[in-house]
Parts: sequence; C-alpha cells; structure tokens
Amino acid sequence: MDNNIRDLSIENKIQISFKKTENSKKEKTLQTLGDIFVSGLLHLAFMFTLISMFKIQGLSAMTIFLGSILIFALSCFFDNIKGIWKILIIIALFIMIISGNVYIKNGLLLTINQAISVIGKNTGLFIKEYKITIGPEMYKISINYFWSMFSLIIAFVCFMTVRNRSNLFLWIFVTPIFLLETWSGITPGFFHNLILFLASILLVNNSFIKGSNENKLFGRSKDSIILYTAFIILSLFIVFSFGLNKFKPASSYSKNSIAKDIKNTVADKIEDFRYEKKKTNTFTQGNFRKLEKLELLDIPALKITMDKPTSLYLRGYVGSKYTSESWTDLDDNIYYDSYGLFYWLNKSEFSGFSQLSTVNNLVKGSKNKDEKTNITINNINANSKYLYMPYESDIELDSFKNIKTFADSKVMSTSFSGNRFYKYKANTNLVKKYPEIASNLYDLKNKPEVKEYLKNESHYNEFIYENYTKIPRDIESLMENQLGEVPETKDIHIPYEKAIEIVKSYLDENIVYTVEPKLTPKGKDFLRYFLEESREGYATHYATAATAMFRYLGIPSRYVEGYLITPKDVKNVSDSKPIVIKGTNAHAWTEIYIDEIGWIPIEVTPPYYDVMEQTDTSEYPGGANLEKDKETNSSGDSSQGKQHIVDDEQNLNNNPNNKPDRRLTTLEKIIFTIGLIILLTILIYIVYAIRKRKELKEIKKGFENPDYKLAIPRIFSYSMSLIHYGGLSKRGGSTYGYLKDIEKNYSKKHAKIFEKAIKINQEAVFSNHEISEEQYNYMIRFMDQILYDIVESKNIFQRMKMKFWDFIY
Amino acid sequence: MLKSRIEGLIWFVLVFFAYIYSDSYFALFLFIMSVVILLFLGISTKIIKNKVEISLKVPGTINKDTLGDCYLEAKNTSFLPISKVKCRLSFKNLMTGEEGKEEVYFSINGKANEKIHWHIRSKFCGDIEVKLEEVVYYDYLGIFSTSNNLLSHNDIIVLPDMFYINIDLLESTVENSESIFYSISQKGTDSSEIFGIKEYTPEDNLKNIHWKLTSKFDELIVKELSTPIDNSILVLLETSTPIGKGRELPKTLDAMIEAFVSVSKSLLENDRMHSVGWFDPEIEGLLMAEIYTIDDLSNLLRGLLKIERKENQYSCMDYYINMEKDSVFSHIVYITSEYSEGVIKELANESQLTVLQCEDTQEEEKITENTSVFTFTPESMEEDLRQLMI
Repeated sequence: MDNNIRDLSIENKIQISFKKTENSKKEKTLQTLGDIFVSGLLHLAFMFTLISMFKIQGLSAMTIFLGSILIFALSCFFDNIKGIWKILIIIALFIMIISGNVYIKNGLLLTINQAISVIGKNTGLFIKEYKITIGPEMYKISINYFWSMFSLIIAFVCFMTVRNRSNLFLWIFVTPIFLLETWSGITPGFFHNLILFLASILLVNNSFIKGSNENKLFGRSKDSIILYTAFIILSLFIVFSFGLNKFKPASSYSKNSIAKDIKNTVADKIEDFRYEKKKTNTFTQGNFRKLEKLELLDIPALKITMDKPTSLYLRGYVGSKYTSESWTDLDDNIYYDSYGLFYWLNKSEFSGFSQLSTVNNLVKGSKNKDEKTNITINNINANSKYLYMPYESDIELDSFKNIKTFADSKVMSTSFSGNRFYKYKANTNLVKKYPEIASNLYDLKNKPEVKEYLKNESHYNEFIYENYTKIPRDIESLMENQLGEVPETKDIHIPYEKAIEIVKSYLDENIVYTVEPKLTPKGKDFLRYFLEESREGYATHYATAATAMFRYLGIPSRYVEGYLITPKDVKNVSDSKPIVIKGTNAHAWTEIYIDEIGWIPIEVTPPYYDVMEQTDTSEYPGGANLEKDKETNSSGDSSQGKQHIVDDEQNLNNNPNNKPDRRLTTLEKIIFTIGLIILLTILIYIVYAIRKRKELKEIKKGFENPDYKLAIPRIFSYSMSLIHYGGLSKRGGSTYGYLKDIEKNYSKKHAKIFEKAIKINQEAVFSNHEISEEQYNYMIRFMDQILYDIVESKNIFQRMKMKFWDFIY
Repeated sequence: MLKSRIEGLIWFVLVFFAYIYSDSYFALFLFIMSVVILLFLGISTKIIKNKVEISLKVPGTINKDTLGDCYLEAKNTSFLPISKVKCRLSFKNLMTGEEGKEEVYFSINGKANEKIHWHIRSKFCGDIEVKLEEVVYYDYLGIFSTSNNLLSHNDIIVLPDMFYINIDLLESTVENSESIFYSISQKGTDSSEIFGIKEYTPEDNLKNIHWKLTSKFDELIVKELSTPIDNSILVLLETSTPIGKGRELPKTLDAMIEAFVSVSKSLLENDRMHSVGWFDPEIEGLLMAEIYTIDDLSNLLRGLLKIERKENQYSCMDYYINMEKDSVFSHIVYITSEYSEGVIKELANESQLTVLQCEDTQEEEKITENTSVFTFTPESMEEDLRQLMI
C-alpha cells in the first residue's frame, strides 16, 4: 500500500504518492547498525572522556559497557517492546535506583569530590569536598554502582538522540565539555577527545541525513548512507590526525605567535577596561613582552590616609614563577594542594601577609600599641586589580570581601572592576629594623607563644623553600655563568647580607640603569638577553635579575611591583592627613624570605638605594648565629634552608593536605531540593507526555481503519475538535450550524469545503452507501487543511503549547 | 539547511575562541579539523555536482484516476556518497491549469544508482507536464549545497473516459447532391433513389413513369424522386473562455472533453464519419479534422489535451461562422459551458445545431427550431447524455 500520499493542494486533483520500498532484511540491518554505531560511539566517547578528564579511579569497564549493551538492545528491540514491557523496565530501573540509593548517592559524591580535586589542581579553585557516609571499603562498589546508572542513562539519552534525529546532545553535553577544557585546562587523553569530536560529527551527519518528517528520505541508500559517510569522515580524521602530528607534533607544540598575540591583545584590552583608569606608569605586572620605555607620570595614583604617617613599601603585584616572557603565579595545583596548609595556618593566626607584624607583636608585646597605624587606601588611578599592602600589615584577611590570595603572596580583587577603597591596620615601618626584631625573637624563643609561632612558621617555611627557590635550568646555568658557583657554606645557605652584597655588586658593576633600554627581541629569553646582551634596564630588569640571583643562591625570593611611600612623602604630614601618592612613586623590587621573620623587600635598583630608609643591621644577631640555632633546633636535615616541621603532636593540623570535610550547607540543601523538584517535574512531564502521545496515536490509528465508514466519523470528530481548539465556540444542534461561523472566521471557500465534509460524514454515519476512497481522501485533506490553518494562525509559543502540552498533533 | 549553517557558524566561533584562549594541542586540532571539514564539505559538493546523472521516467499515457508509475533515476559516478539530494519536481496540467511542486529527498552511495518510485494520479484528463526543475546536492552536515537547474521535462497524457451515447440523427434539411443519404420526408429531383410512387397526374414528368408498375396496375404510376440530403456532422469543442469569466473549473473542462470524445466515439461506433473542430491558440484559428476511425481521434487527442484555456473575445462558434466554408455541416454538435444566443440562432438557420452545455446543475432540455440544448453536469454526464438527438 502506498503511503505518503500528498496532494498538491486540497483543490488540486493531481496526487503524488511515493512508493514505500519494503526494506529488505539487509537494509534494516544496515539501518540498525548505523544507529548502533553512532549512538554507541557517542556514548563510549562521552563516558571515557569524562572518566579521563576527572581521573575517576576504581571503575570497572563493565559499568561503561552496560550502556553499550543497552544501546544495542534498544536499537534492536525498542520498536517491538509493547507498552507493558516499557513500564516494567522503567519500574525495574526505579527499583534499582531506590535499592542502591546509598551507593548511588555516595558514588555521586565520590565522583564530585574527584572532579573537585581535578578542577582544583588545574585552576587553583578550591571547592570543599562532600562528606562520604560509607566506609572506604565500599567506595569501589559505590562508584561502580553510580557509574553503571549514569552509563545507562547516558546510553538511553544517546539512543533517543540518534533515534529522534536530533543533535541536541552536541550542544548540551559535548560543547560544554570542550568549553570546560578550554577554560580550566583539564583535558582528557587526546584520543578520547578525538573520538568524542568524531562521534559528534557523525551525530550531526545522522540528524541531517534523516532530517525531519517533512523532508523524509526515499530510496534504498538512506539505510546505509550513514555508514558510508562515517567511513569517509573517519578516514578524514585519521589522515588529518597523522598529518597534523607529523607537521606539528603534540610533544613539541607551541601556540602560533599570531594566535598568542590575539589572545594577549584581547586579554590586555579586557584588563585595561576592568582595572585601569588613567595609567600612572608603564610597569607591566611582570609581563616582559609589554615592556617599553619607563614612564612614571606625575598624576595621583593612590590617596592614603594613615593616622600615624610612616614610610612603607606597598606591595601590589607579586611574581612567583619566572618564564621567558613574564613572571607568573605558581602552578594551580600548588595552590590547590597547599590550601589546607594555609587554612590551618590562618586558623592558628599565622599569615604570611602579617608575619612581620606578628613577630613584632611577639617581641614587643603590649608596648607595640604605639606602633600601630590605621591605613585607608583610596585607589584613584592605580591598577585596581591588586590591593596594595605593606609588609607591616596587621590584618585578618577574612575581613575583606571579594578577594583571592595566592598562597599569601598577593591579594587580588575578584570584583569586576577591582577594589578602589579599603582599609586595614598595620605597623609603622618595620622593614628598616627587621634585624633588631630577629634578634629579639631569638632571645624569646623559649616563650610558649614564640614556640607556637615558630612551629607554624616551620610549615610555612617548608612551603616557601619548596616553591620560591626554583628557577628554570637554563636560568640556573645563566646564573652560574654570571655569578659563578654558589659559595660553599656549612649553613643552610649563605648569610642574607652576603647574598645581598653579591647581588647588588653584580648589578652595580655590570648593568647600566636607563629608562629606555633595548627591547627584548621576540623569541629570546628576557633575563638572558638582559644579562648577556643589553645589560641595561630599569627597576623591572633589576628586580627580575635580583630575584633569580637570590633563588640561585638558595634564598627564597619574589618579584614585586607596587608603590613606595617614601620618607619624603610622609615628612611633616600630620596624622590622618591624606597623602597623595603619584605615579612617580611606582616601583619594582625584589623581596626575600628571612627565616622566622618573613618577607623583606630588598632594593636592588641603584637610583633607589637612598629613597627608602636603610636597614639597620647593627642589631642583627648574625646570619650565621641564627642559622646555627636552626641547626640545633631542627632534626638534622639541612637541605637548602628547609626546616622540618617542629611539632609532630597535632598530626591532623600539620598535615598540609588535610582539607576540612563538611556537610551540605543550607543553600546547597535548597539547591538540591529545587533540583530534585525540577527532576521530579521533568519525570512527571515525561509520563504525562507519554500518556498523551499514546492517546493521540490511538486517535490517529482510528483514521487508518480500512472501513471508511468507521474512519470518516473519527476524522470528522477530530477535525471538529481542531476547529474548537482554533477558537470556534461549541454549538448544539446540527453541524450545519457551524457554517456561518466558519465563513465568518475563515472564508467562504472554507465553508464550502466544510459543508462537503459534513455531507460525507453524514453519509458515512447514516446511510448505507459505500464510501469511496475519494471521499475518504477528501476528509483527510480537510483535516490536514484545518490543522494547517490553525497552526499557521498561532505564534511560536502557542504552537509549542499545542504540540508539547495539549498534544493536538 | 539554515539551522545547520547557524549551528556550524556557532561551532566555528566556539572552536576559534577555544584555540585562541587555550594553549592545549587539542584546541589546535579542533580548530584546524573544523576548518578542514568545512573545506572538505565545500569541495565535495563541487565535485559531486557534475558526477551525478539524474533522469525522470514517466508513462506516456494513463487513464483518469489510475496510478501511473514514474521514477526518478540517479546515477552517482563519483566515489563520494551523497547524504542528501533534493529534486524539485513541478507538475502542470496544461488543460485544466492545475499545478504544483513537489520536493523529493534521497541519498545515494558512491558509485551507485538510486531509483525512486512514485505514482501520479489525476482526477481529470489533460496533458500533465512533469518537470525536473532543480537538483540540489547537500554536503554531509547540511552546511553547503550546490544546485543544477536541469530543465528536463516529460509529458503524461491523462486520457479522458469515454462512454457510449445513443445518438439519433434528426433528418437534415440541407441538400447535398453528392450525398448518399436521402430525405425520408422530402421529395426531390434525384433519380438515384425513389422516394415513393403515386398515380400519374398531368403535372408529372413523363420521364418519371414507372413502366413496370404501370403494367402491373393498369394505371399510370409515376416515381417520386428523392432529395439527397447532407448528413455531415461536426463536433465542435469550445476551447476558449469568454473575457472576464476567468478560468474554467477543471471538472467542467474535463467533462467537456469527455463529452467531446464520447460523442465522437459513439458516432464512429454507429459508422458515422464526422468532423471535429476546436480553436487552437497556436494557429489562432479553428482546427478541423475528419474522423474516420478511432485512431484518427486518438491522434488528435494529444494536441487537444495540451491546449491551455485562455480568454478570448471570440468563441469557437464565431470562428466557425466566419471561416470560409466549401459546404455547411448539416449537424453541428457544440460542446461548451456557455454560449451566445445570437450566434446559436444564426447557425441554426443553416444546420441542425445541438448544444451540449456543461453546467453545475442540470437544467431542462431546451428545444427550438433546429436547435437543441442539452445541459449536463460533470457529476452525472453519463446519465445526462446517454440519449442524444442531433
């Protein structure tokens, strides 16, 4: 029997019908194979990509292949499954979910925790992990249980996606994964990504080929075309992958310079938009490629109010890791891994930001109150990305909102346009007298509070030495060439003063200060070019070189940019009077870590030697003495200045990787509940939709009754329901009564067609006449025309309601 | 197609963004692979355009309301499979003016043939012109397409139904000395046929004395001579519409054609040679032909069914009246949907005119001197025209 009869119009009498080719077994098999191939590949690619991305451990391959089995079963038998069986399967799944509820929940939480860990290590973003309510021995079962369910769900989704010729899966699941990879840098294996991309292309191809109901494909090739095109696309992938790997191998891949430039340009523009007003200087926050002539403008950068005006180094940007193009932060996984350390340190009231103040408070006790000052920063034109803080800060960072600290190096604002107004407490200048502080601390080392401090500092010290003495190998050899071998010493490292002397001497003798140095050519290492070729520069160059040199000498150091509040700026300034710090005060310097004391700025740029107060080293107990005491205190390991953790009693607190567990917060509970409600609503809708679809299907089945005398009244009845849905009020009495309304609301032509339809219907219902196929076809066309007119008269939302809520068609 | 393009554009923007922003090798791969795929899709559509041969096969003739087997045959000579091909077919019944378009989608594997079977059925007769107007080839993802305007076309003749009409010929009053038919009611002067016999009267010509019968009856018997009459028949079909009327309904045109061929065929079955005529817009004049056999009728039918009805200030009758004629048809059957009373009166003077008028509702037969007007409806024409007197 021919199907797909289409009239060119309800009036035209030329009918075109397409012969439905009976699919041979081979073609049906090919079609099924095509569906299995696309949906199966998509499912496997998606699952393995997720597993690889988030490094899920303990999974059995069977959990994933369960989904493949489901896809195979559905592809072969879905159409043959009767309604009752579908319901039974759903019930069975429901029972499985309910019975394995604890395992599924914990499996989900374990997976989330693993994902949190991976995200943290790649982005530095710390998210607290969820508490697991089962024992570790059940973890594997739980994870496998959850992933089995997840695999089945994803398999079902893939199957339905392919079956419904949709490519929503690409946009809802695959594209977000690729975007997540881009943003976070978390990438699965290359092969997984490749297969996922391939599967997505095949999905799009499948949905395009099979198309919509209006553009149905004819012919025999439609069943096997997906396999042929899959072969073509796969060949393209293989050839191209090999080709690309040959010409641009992954192992030595570096991004194209044009792409880099575009990225940098866009990023810079965004940064300037967010954080810059009138640029007060040409310092580049450690970015060597943007370096140009140094310009320090005589315009206000900061307005600072101190109730005890004092000269200070205000730290802004801090560079932790050297690369040939810029100073950067430490790797994200270091921040993530050390989150616990800093959490417990802060809980113990130890902070790298206020270490100098803490030490000073310890040694001075109550006498210290006179040295406190309240500082208010009003950022007028300076870059607002970082908060400017002195070494003498005496703050609790919890009091600041919307900030991010980078292992106590810099304080960055997370607001869109930065932070332009903030206040904090600090001590008056302690940098100039840190040796005296160190000496006093040494004298008090047996005091309980000092012991406690030293215990905490030992953990921090370990972290500092582990991360802030590293330089790239080629820079190490450069340093060796320039400075010679590191002088041997019985101590952990050479004394600080000696190191400072070495660095300063080298820079004074070999480098010329200029505000307009030669720019580093593209492709060349900044430091190497500076020390070996140009030998000229300004604060950025000096500070970078000095930081590398200190690290080479075994002393932890960092690169800093910020502003100087000089003695000249505060001279004769009364208390609480605002001090305007201009762009001319912008500067770059290096800071080194003095054991047990904290970070201290070291001036290495010759023109600035006399700008800030000189450090009084007369009180310093001697680097050697302090180092000797460290030896006696430590358990004997003197590797490069690292100190072993002194106190082993509180293992929980001392474990740097011990992150605090937690239960769900109220907000999370609310979100979870809302999510559950949404899920329930979706499930209810699905059940409702299935039921309604079934009803509609039953109605439409009635139209195909071979007995036209039965089919026509059903068609007419459905058509009348369409007319009522279209807005015509129900009438009692004869259906001829609708004629006037139809003529009024539609047209005379419609009324005429309707009248004929009434006649045919009445003939079918009341007479003994045979109903011809022509009359039947007329009724079908009549119904289609009404439906078409009603759909056309609705807007898109009404049409969606018609189709997905009222299930009119 | 538009949806695919928009999705493709969004995808391309996203992978470009990913490549710029990310330093990963996969971002490079994704971007370049996307470009490669786009290029491949574009090039492949250009390649396949000239590698596919498409032909349309339709039956030459079909009957009304019967399925005609047609098929679209495509041959792909390239190794690349084609995911989707769209063929746009157009149909037009030249006679009734019905027209429409249909789009057929199919796939075709590399180095393979594909045959799409389809049926055509027409409720009305006519000449259906089937054109393959355009073929569009799509790439695998629906982003690019290329088209060929093929312009191949075929014709399907939908034959009109024919039914038997019991035709009684009224005696003509037109004399024709060469005719072999003689009047049964009118005496004449043709000695080839004896009209009757009567007793001699002094006015009678002595040459007409029937000597055989005279000797038998002992009275002078004379022959009455006959009048040879013309029994020529012309069946005229109106193929124009009056100005301002607009297009004739397809069912009316269909009914008129069926009446026309049925009358002609019925005459042939009664061994009545006759002529047929209609206005042919191509020659801008009346086309007339003599019909001796059913083959003659069949040969003319193809041309007749192609004629597109257009408005014309002159009817077929006007052309007939004004044309130069050697002789006059004694019987004229005029098939039309409307007629001019004046023209009919004028023609009725010369010939026995029978007008078969196709209307929506049946009206009573009108008979005037020398003119009969029969109305018939498309729905009941067989019943209405089962008995005709012309």
